[in-house]
Amino acid sequence: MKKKLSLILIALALVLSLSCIAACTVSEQAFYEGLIKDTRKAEEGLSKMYSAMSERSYYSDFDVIYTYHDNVSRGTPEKEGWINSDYTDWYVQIAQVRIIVSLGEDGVARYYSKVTMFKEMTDGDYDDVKGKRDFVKVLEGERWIDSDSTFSAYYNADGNKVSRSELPDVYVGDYDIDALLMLWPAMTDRYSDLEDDLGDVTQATYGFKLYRNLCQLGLRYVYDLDGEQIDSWHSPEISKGYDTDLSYDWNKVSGLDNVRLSVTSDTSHVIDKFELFTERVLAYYQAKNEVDKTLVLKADVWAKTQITVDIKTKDVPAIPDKA
Amino acid sequence: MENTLEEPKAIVPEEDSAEGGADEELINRKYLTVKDYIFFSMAQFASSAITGLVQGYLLFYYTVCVGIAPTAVGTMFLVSKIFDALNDPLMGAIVDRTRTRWGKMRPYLIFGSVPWGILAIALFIPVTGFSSGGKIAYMYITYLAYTVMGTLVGVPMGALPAVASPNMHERSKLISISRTVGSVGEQSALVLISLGLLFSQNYTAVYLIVAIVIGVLGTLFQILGGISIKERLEPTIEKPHFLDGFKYMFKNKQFFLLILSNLLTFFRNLVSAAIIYVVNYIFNNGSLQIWFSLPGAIASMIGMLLAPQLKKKMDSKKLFILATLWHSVALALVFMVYMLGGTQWYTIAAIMFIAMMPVGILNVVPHLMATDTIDYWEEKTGNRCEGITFALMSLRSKVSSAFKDYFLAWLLAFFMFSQPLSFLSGHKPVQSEFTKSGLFLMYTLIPAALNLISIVPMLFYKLSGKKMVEIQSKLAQRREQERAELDGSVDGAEIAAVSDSIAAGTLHIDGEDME
Repeated sequence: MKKKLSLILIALALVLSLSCIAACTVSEQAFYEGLIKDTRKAEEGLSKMYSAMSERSYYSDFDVIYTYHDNVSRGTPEKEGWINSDYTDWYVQIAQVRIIVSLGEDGVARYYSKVTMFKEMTDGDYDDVKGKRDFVKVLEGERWIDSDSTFSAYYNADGNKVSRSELPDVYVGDYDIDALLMLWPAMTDRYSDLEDDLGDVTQATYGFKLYRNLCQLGLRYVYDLDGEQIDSWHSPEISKGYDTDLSYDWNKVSGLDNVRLSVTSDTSHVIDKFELFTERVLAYYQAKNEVDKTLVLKADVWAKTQITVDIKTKDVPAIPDKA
Repeated sequence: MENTLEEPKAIVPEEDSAEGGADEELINRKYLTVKDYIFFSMAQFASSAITGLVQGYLLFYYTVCVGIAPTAVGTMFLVSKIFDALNDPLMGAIVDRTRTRWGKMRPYLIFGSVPWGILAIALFIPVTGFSSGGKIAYMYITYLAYTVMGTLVGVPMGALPAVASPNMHERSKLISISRTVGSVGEQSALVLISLGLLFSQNYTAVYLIVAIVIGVLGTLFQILGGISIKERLEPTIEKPHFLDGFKYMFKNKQFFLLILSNLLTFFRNLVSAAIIYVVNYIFNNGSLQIWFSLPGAIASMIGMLLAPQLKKKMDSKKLFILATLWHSVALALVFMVYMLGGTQWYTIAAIMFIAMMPVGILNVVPHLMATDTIDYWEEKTGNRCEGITFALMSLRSKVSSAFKDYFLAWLLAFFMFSQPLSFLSGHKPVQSEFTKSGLFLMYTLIPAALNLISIVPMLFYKLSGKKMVEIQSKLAQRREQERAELDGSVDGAEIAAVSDSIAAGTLHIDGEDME
């Protein structure tokens, strides 16, 4: 009798534990509903942070770093798309940005930015010189914006003032000198109202941890084989599963862009760190694995941008005079 | 004719520890030979080599070489973990009820290692020709059978040092040496597979050949180990009831405290679990993992080898507490150095070497303490429960690992870790500064602080120092009496000398004063 009881208890314990595991998964509908709710909460948090920033002067010096792998393409079922060889490499494009936002006595904010763009290098060379910031300057620019005017100045590698048209075509990712000079207002503007982005949000969190307000957002844009954006990143025509089970049909998807924003602030919502990471993903043909050499479609990040802005609100320097 | 007893030998003077008496000789008698240490360590090496091969490479083999979906493999591992949780105490109870002419534990090591070795090889047989369902069925059958046999061999092997010698120091040395050798054995699959891949890129063939080598040699070494070592402590004639094994943990309160304390050491395991996150997301270089893991493993081995020597200077409880404090302080030091600007990976790896040494001690000492709880129980009740003791120690280790995984997952979520996307190969998302700070806390300050909780149950643990010597003395006396009764002779002087020494409180054993 005791043995039978023990066996029944063991069987019950097994069933119970397996049921608990099954119950822990969230249904698909609940997952997407939860995502919208989280996005609204994150939007509210971000709004408080931007509002707090609009009431003070601040400055920051930060880098915009774009890393990419050259010689990548989709390939074909007969030819690999991602080539790793002595003639392919990861490259780094980097720009240094200084922003100063100064709140005048009249309550009007004045904006200043200075951008220095450097020569592209391999990631190996970047690792060697990044400690001492021994980069090769290519061009520079400055911009002053106040309530009624915008003024820009450009400089070549020698520091001589030149016109915009005399500057070489240098980019950090998709950003040229003008985009970089306006990067900070563009970024804060872009992610202040998420109403139009609700369908693109993949994750959103807002919370208070270790005496910091934290907001994290993830967005995703998926492209078809013609490079056109597909309406939804979890459309059943191109994907299956959801949450960590999500997978894409790479026969229909050429690639996607992932964007992640992480903003932290103090208890008064004054931002101290604004981080933006973007990843560009490409679907490409490559051998299945080390054992099976059949070419199949895989996907990987081939380019990424990192921007980390440390905001300082004390000892804000004065905006330099216009050049 | 008056039967005069010989005058008992003089009690060993307190100041003179060098001379032995009958009492000291009884407790400190040497039982193990060099051959015992060598062959048992080889058996441990073999056992670790098999588990290292399966734990390290089976997932890759199933998913890449055989072509089973990762989710199916993951589900199978989860099912086997639940199965194992029930399996371990069951096997412990079976071992404790075993009575053979070879002993309780040795038959499982000698005869059980053959099917275990065969099953380890069977796991790596390429069933690529089977249907998808057939592959999954084969995977479940072979892996669950492997798990059962692994427990059948592993639990007795863990318990053997407790019966190989009644001498605490010999047990200490045997556990320390065999576990150190075992930790080297765990890496043998890595070495053999790496060598094999130099000659051929046929992963399936290389894995099978390595499995055959490890399976065959592993079986041989375990058989030799089982044959060589002797069980010198006789089991009780009466077999414990099957369910008594499950109640044992709660009846033997000292063992319960030991299990509880060791369960709480799962916080410490965060350190090794966090290495992969630290090297990939803070130092941005996954290849640095070996520079963090290998020195840690070497430091841990040094700690394991130091444990018996340190045990001579202080009792197990003190050693456990001191090693825990050492580990926590060193981890806190790593955190401080990093915050003060010592952010180079080699600086952190170097200080971590010091932090990992006590881990080796903490890998050995609980097993010594487990043998002490067995002796305590024998002294109290006359029963020895090596099987259930080491089965529960094994189960504790698995539960601890599960707690660690759960806590790690919780911490990653708390620090807003951005998970790699499963539909990308080798995705390594850039983490925010808040997350990176959290990952470093997870590696240092969090385990440093929470590991101290494991000391709390230890404060109530009584089997240390004088208490253990007292228990050992009583057991030695009892065993000598039983042996003498079997031989038909009684050495009253010898027994009286030990009794007098205990009563007078002047027993001087191996450098330890008894007030």
